[in-house]
Amino acid sequence: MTWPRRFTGLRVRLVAAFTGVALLASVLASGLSYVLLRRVMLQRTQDSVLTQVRDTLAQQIPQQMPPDTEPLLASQLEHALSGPGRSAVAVPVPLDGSAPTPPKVGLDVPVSAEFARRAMREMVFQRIVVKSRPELEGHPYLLVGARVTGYTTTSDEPRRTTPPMVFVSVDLGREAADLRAFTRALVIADAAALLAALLLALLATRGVLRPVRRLGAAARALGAGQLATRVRVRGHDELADLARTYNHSAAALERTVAELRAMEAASRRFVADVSHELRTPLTSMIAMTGVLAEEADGDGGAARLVAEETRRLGLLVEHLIEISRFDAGAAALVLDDVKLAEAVAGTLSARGWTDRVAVQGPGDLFVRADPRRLDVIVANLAGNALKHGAPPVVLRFGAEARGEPGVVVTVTDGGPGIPDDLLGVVFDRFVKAEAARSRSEGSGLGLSIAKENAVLHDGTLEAANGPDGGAVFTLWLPARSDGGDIGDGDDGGEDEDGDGERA
Amino acid sequence: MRTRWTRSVRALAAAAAVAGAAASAGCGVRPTGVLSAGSLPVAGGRAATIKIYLVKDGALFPTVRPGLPGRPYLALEQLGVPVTAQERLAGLSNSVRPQQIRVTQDQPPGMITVWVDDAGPEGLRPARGSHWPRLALAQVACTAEAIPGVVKGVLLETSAGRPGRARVQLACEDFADLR
Repeated sequence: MTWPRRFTGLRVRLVAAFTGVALLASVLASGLSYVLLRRVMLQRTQDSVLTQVRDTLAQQIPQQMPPDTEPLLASQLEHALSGPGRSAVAVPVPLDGSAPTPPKVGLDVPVSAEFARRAMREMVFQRIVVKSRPELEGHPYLLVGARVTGYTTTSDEPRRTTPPMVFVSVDLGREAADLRAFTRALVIADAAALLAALLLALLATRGVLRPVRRLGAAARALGAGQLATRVRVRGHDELADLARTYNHSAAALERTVAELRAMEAASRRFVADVSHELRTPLTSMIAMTGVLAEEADGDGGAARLVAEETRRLGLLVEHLIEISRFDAGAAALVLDDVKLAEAVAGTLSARGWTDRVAVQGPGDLFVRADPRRLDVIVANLAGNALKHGAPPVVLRFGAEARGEPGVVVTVTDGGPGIPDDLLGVVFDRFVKAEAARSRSEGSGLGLSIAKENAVLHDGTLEAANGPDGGAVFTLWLPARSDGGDIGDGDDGGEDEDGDGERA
Repeated sequence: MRTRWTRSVRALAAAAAVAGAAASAGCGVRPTGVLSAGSLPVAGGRAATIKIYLVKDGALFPTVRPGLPGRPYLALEQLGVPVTAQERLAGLSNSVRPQQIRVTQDQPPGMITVWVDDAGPEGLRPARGSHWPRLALAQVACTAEAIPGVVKGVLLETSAGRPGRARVQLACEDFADLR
């Protein structure tokens, strides 16, 4: 069983707790007042009846009785003690010390033998609720039993001068009705208290929950990156403290993030600056070492090695410049309708890979893309397969819709595939398949740049291992046949002198 | 969360059940056992003693018995009961046969009527075999006149409807020979 939010929300719980406490308090107060009032009411009735019985017996029965006046006295007592809702029966006192026979008629409730027995020794009373008679079911009565003491009688004829004892039953129906009316009033009062508590609870929770909601919205905004979000601090309670703490935390976070961003930007700028500074002398060095290598006598191994390494250094610097442009957000797309078969063939032939890479795909498939960046991606994927994989390297392309129409380009090789520990980080910078090898031919940035380019197109680039073991790189680009440019196009593609392009 | 809620719901239900049980069991007038209301009351009714004329040695003999509150004519009613053991020991007897005697106050004030049950074969006539010999009539007349406020005389009546006199007027002075 799961509880819907609206039953477990803070508001419902607060309201329930508030109302529960109010209800408990009012029910307790009602219960106490009910019990006290009932006790007082019944006590008063009992006291009045008991006093009347006691006084009547004391006044009507003389210390010494004339002979044979017991029936006379009995009827006199019955007459004096009877009244509306009250009946009395006087019976002779047994002289052998036994319990008197409880009267069978004349009273509203039966008298138990125990009651009659105790009435011989002391004045007793008992509240009885009728159960045996259906028409009076639940009707309460007060039963009183007493006889007098302190009278004188004769030893030889005590029967003729012993006063009778009396049993009196009093209807407590009026008291019961009063209690019922009181109960009704209490129930109404409790219901009113409950309603008032509910209203107060709703008002109070609204006051508590509004700042909490505001804080929640502010925290969400902060999480979404709006670091300047602050909440208004009102009042001096715990919630105001919380809002103040939130504001302090947000300010500290904003400051820290700003510092981190500045540091990151500075380091990127440093890399870009260094790359740009290295580029000019390296261009000259590449040209010079190329000439030296060509002119070298004999095998010219040293000169060729220097030329080759210088060329690699130049490539690395180019890649670094490209990456820093992505990091600076300065990379832009210059979109064109590209015939995929032609673009792929152009890329491969420009690098002399036409014979080494098998191409499969329809010849009339167009994609809306930046031709230079598409060339970079395809060249990186094919070059990566040729360098790190094994033949056969196959490049397939075709149409594939992923939510929207698009094209997919897969490059597979027959090599051992990507090691599992590298699969997740293969597009990270300076990650190389042959980590143990300190020197490799690539810069370690090729796949990162390919991925950045794919993302720039709103496409995806994924790496996986094929069922037969080789690495499989899958590029997907949206077709965008409507031809909307994404970037502003001022990037200019190659921009060999791109110093001014950097952010 | 779920356990906590289930537990709270259970606790709430239990509390409601207890409250409901307490409310239903505690409402209205509850029965009690037999309770003591203190010691027995002491007989203390105040009543003047009454003077009754009984018979001793064939003559009237006044004797005193305790009275009852609110019963001014108790003395006449007491003529219908047998003498007590003490009175018998003292040689007293009662010529009036045991019976129910009622007294009514008549007009004019000071006149009363004594109603008796037992008329006997001769009615109220003091003849031989009558239930009402002269001594009995004298007892009634003198006891009645001893009651404060009775001055005008006494009527003795019977509602038995037997032959003979059903009503006689009595005066204590008529029986002066028996005193």
